[in-house]
Amino acid sequence: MDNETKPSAAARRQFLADTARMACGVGLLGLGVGLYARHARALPPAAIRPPGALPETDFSAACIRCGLCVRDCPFNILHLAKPEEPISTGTPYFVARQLPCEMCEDIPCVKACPTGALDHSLKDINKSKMGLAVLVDHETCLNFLGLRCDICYRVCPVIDKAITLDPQTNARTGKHTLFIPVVHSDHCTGCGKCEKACPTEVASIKVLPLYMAKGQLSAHYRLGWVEKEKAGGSLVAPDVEHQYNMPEGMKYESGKGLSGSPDAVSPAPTSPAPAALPKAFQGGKL
Amino acid sequence: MNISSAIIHALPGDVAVVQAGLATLAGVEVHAISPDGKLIVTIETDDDGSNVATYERIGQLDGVMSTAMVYHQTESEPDKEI
Amino acid sequence: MKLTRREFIKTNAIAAAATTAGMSIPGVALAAAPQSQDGVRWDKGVCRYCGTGCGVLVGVKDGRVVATQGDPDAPVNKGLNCVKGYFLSKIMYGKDRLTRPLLRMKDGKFDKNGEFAPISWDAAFDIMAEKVKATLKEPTQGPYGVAMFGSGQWTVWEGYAAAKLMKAGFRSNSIDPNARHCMASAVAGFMRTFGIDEPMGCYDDAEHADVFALWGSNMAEMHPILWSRITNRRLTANHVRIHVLSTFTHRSCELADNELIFKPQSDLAILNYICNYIIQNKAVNQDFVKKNVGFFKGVTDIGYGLRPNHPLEQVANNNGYPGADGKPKGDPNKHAPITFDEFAKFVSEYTLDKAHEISGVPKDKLEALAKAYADPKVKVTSYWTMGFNQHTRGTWVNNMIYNVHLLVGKISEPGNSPFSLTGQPSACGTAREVGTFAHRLPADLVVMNPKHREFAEKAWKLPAGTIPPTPGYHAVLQSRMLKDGKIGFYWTSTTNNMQAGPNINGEIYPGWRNPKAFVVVSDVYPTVSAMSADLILPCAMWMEKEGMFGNAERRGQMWRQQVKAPGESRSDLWQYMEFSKRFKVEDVWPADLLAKAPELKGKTLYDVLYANGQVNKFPKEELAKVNAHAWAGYTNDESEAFGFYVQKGLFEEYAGFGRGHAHDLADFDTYHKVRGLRWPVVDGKETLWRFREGYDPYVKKGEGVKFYGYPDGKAKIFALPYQPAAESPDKEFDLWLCTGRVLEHWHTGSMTRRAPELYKAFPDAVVWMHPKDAEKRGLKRNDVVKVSTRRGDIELRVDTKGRNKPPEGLIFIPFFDEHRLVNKLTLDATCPISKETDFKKCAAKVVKA
Repeated sequence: MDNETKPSAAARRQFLADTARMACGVGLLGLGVGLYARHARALPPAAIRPPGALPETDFSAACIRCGLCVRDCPFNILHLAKPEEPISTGTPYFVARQLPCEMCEDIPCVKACPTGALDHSLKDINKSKMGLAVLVDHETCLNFLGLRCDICYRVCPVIDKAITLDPQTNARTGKHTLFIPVVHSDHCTGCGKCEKACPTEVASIKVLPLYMAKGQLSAHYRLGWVEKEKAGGSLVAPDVEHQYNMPEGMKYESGKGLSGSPDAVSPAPTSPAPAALPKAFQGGKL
Repeated sequence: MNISSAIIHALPGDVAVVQAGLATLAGVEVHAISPDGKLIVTIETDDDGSNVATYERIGQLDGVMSTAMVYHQTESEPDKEI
Repeated sequence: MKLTRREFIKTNAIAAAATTAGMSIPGVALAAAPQSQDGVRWDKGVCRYCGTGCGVLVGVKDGRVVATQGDPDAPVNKGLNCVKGYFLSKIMYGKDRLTRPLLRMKDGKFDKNGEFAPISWDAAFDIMAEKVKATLKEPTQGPYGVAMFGSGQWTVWEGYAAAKLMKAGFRSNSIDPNARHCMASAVAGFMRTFGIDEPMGCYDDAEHADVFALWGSNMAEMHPILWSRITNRRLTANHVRIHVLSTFTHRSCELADNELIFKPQSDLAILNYICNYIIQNKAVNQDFVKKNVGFFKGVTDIGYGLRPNHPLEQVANNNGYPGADGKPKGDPNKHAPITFDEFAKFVSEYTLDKAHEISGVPKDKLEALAKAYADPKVKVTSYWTMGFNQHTRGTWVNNMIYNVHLLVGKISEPGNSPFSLTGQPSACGTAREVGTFAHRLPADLVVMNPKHREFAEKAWKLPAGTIPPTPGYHAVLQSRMLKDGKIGFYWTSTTNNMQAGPNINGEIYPGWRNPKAFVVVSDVYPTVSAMSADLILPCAMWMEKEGMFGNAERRGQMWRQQVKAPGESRSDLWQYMEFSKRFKVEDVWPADLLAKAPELKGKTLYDVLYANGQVNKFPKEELAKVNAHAWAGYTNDESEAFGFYVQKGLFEEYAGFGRGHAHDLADFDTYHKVRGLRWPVVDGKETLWRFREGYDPYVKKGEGVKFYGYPDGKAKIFALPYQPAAESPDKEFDLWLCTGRVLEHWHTGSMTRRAPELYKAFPDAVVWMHPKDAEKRGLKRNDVVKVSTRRGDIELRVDTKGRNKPPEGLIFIPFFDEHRLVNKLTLDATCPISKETDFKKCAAKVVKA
């Protein structure tokens, strides 16, 4: 318990000092204030808000810079922004690569928030959306290079849901599999454990604010296989049964293709040796 | 602008009479007639008041057994292209 | 006229009332079809672009296509689309959609130099009928002066109705599809080698081949979904190898194990070298060759399909053009039997050294390719498109790839497949199978053959002698005949020849603007062609009509009409049928023909061609019945207009040509219930590989392989030489100019350039050139340059990086950009046999603009 109160008390003192400094700054800077305020509105990508934080503009408006969430964070990962930082001064944030969110089940930071800047309706920490992990650098990610690292996958608190490994052929070796980490936005909380744990010198996977991390498909196009799954079957009348002209012993199924002898036991013959690997397989790409 | 559609049920023998009656009403168009005496019409009027009035007049036409409004929409800029 | 909110709401209101009352109203979609929660009704369809034939599901809400998705149950694409397919829902809704007929007028009357003004359909058909009748009577023009130009984007029944109107109605064989520019050489190749059209294999070959060879095909950009199947095969089977042959490095070379960049036209030499290699290395499949192949030597001085007064044609003694005595100078298609040994001797001069010298390809690369074809344990699938087809020796080069496959017997079985790909959604289904070429009739029949004409006349219930016996004007000839005043009435549709045709400056534009010609363009947008016409007819497109396309693997696919066309737009089908009502038989037929069928006297062409008891056999009630599984109360605009199930009637009459003749199509109703079927469909069974026992019902038990297109059951191997191109770079015009496509845009961009995202992705055409060629001319990347040939010049920016990397001495320009018409530069030289233009080779120069 001591551990819990001490740094938080310190944080609160820090906040008061920051506020005072900022007040002075305002007085001194005069004309520069407008510029400063505009600057402050954009949150730098490495700064992640605590769980349950409202969308950035709403959050900035609702947060009264009281520092209570920082005080109540049992792992001391939250900071209050200092005036020289490009974040609204006095608002809470954390940097995943330094200390990621530990995802406390009782979410003390949210409970501590007196204004709802951290949304009190968030009861299940697994539903929080602090940001979204993005595998930003395919050239340095060890798994993309064919090495077996999987650290991000394994440290993920929502393993097999937020991050899965997608096996793909390693065309370079021709014998191995690349286990490509895939982040699923519907399960990723943005806690940052993966970024913290990424073993490359600079993290290859990073948590970014949602608005930066997420693309959006246009409304005029749907993914056929997703829609089919959602609907629990084909959206249109299924085909009448197909039949094919086939030699005896051979079978052809739509989707699966040809099977049966003699073709099924097609040996892998030795093709003429290529002069060099296709360009697509050269270099560090695969 | 009010645009609505309705199903008018006429006695099968009276369809022609009803059709003639409908033709006298402004903003009313017949789009289809079924063999059993159902007429699909649209009604376009400038405001709610005249809309109600049109429906009342349809109901009073000879041969009309019932009128059922199916669809109704108001549109402030009817001539704007979509 | 565009749709106002009022009209839009009314349509909804009517549909809602009709649904409630359980009534069917023409053209108003009843909402009984499966609807997802967001109110979108989904139905199956086919992509509008290339010949791959990807299945899509089309989402309609409030009478508008609001969304599409790749059909997860379509065997071709399993739910995937390329980026063009991603924007399919936008192609019908460009802001400048044509909605009314427009005629060039001055002082209220037609004037060739007047301004476009809206007129009624009635008035449009009036002037068209007047011009047709005048052309028929004009001695310098006559029936063949009534000409039509369509495409592989016609639906099956549109192409069929058009061909019937022209060949039987106006008795003019001057109807050709733009597929002439696209795969006529593939057709001629099939017909010459096998005596029957279309590939023997199917897309499933991609999962069974050990080696893929791409000849003049950039599948990575032009057939992206098929390419992903090949990529997957390469990635998942380590022994698989890919050879890419091209005159410049493009995206498909990324995946190539063996990239062969050859000098333009030298593919002829490479193919002969491979045959020579196979023979020298005793790799000929002797049993196969003895049983299934005959050897022939073709005539060689066949010219280049240029105008007869061109010096190259005057020295050609087998171009078929009238000679000094007025008789045709030989026949470019002529060939005489030879022995295997004679063939072996013929190709023996194409040694590795010679092939290397002509092509410029390193010897080890040539050898690796030859080895792959020769190795009996390796299954090879060859793909080609425009690099082969758009070639002054296009028919030859098609014959010659079959030479290779036939010598080693690698054909007609899973994974061993010479496969000609197509560029249009129904190049196969409509242009070829329906036979909308100047010399063809449905199901591989030709007008020159009296038995074929007789068959067609009987099938159409017309008197003997109705169909004229000589081929009409083909695509390039149409342009020339327009310029020469021999065509008086010209009607184009579903194509944009003023942008896509060759030598616009020299032939097409002067032809269309010739005062002796009246040019009608049916189109959906004001394309370059539409704006060059005398009369524009607004068309319904894609999901605004019921349709059927046939893709490159013989798969026929149908869709239902999903939405109404805007304003007064009408489908091409309606246009042909409605226009036919304007003619009495005696207006267009000579008295002696009519005397053979006096019962037709006084009847209109509509009565004779479409209300003939066959086409109008299926009553309107059939629409709802046939499509009940998908959509309660379904109907379509043409059937409402004419009072019977038009599409079914036309299809069934047409299908009668192929059934029992190895072109069997299933019955109409079945196609509406499946994601396509690959013909021949015999006893309800599809055929995946042709000419092989077990797979093909036309090959009897014990026959093994049978190329039944020829009566002797044998395919032909041709001895044909390497010959230079029609125009090669020289001192002044020192670069090869090659034209083609890019992934983002389809053909002339009339649809894709109207999807804002695709336009943004690739707004303007550029000229790709080698950095050294640029440097030599003092050019930097992005400089504006002038590219000129003997026929014209255009200005555009130069690119020395990116997706295409030409070797020194060659430039590449795509043809999608209507503001940079590269076809002002191209030469209208064709393959003398197939009459297909060579868009890939002419001489150009580049200077800073």
